[in-house]
Amino acid sequence: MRIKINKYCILLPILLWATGLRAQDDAIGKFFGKYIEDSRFTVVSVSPKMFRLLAKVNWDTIPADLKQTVTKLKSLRILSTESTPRQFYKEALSRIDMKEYEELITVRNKNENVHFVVKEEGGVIHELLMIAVDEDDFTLMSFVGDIDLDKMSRLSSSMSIKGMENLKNVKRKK
Amino acid sequence: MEKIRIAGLLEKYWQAETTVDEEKVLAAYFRQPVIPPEWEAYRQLFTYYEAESRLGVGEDFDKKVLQRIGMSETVAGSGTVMRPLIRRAPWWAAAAVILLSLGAALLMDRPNPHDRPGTPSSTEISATTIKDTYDDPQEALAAIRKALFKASSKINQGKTITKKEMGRMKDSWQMAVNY
Repeated sequence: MRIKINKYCILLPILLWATGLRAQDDAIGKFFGKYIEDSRFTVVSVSPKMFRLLAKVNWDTIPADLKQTVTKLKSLRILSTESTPRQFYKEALSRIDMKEYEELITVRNKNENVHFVVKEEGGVIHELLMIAVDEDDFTLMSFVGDIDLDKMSRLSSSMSIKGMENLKNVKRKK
Repeated sequence: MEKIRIAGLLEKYWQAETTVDEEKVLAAYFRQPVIPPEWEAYRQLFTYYEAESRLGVGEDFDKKVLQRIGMSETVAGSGTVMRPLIRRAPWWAAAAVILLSLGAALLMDRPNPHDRPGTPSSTEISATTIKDTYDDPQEALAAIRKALFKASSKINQGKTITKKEMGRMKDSWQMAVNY
């Protein structure tokens, strides 16, 4: 009896570990694997191997914020299509398992819908998935790695804040 | 004299107050051939306990059991044949389970054509399933940069809308307070 229990004690963690390995796949691989080979879709993939090779690139001209964000990423995958974007958007929303992913930001305009969902574990975001659709195309974008949302949002806000400040100055001058 | 002592012990015995040693004395007393006739009835009681405690497994017990479960003595006689492998070498069993699980995990991964054999660590699993679009790191970085900016600007779009809405709410709240 004691031996039987031992056997299961060993077997169970191994099975869990094995399924854990499978769970490393990003959302695109999990829910849209079949579209990766589909000719209607444009695919951009940057593998973890390539992310490691990025170390060889000349980083001098690259802003520090961007560098810090990029070095913490492990993989990037983009899937986009121009054919029946709305339909694929609906499919994406229904396919993504919301038990695993948490809704982060939703932007809804007249002609554009954007969802950001994240996979979070212990306060750390491991995957950020963007699901975006407008009149012309549908885009799925998945970042896997250690993701700092604040830093990420600063990447583009540094530009837009400069623009905003200019606007303020214009007002003051008047 | 002896009789008085035994009578006392018996009295204690009926009250269930005797010690183990005292009970042994009683049992020894009742084993002797001659005891007072009024206690003859108790003889059986004490000798019965004695006899029962000495009872063991008979020599032909194994044989009987084996016959009942339909196995011949010759098979059981060789001993090791009957014992399961696990009880002989539990660590072999554990090792076998680990190997089997690993094999199963590798087999599950196998159907993916992009898989490289011998996946080293968990963080590199997705590496085996992602086919690179770019061969040049410089191009890859440009694509990553573009993607990051796109995601970043969309996040900010969401944030600014939220801020605007919050601002509006604050305004109307203040208007309501001022009234």
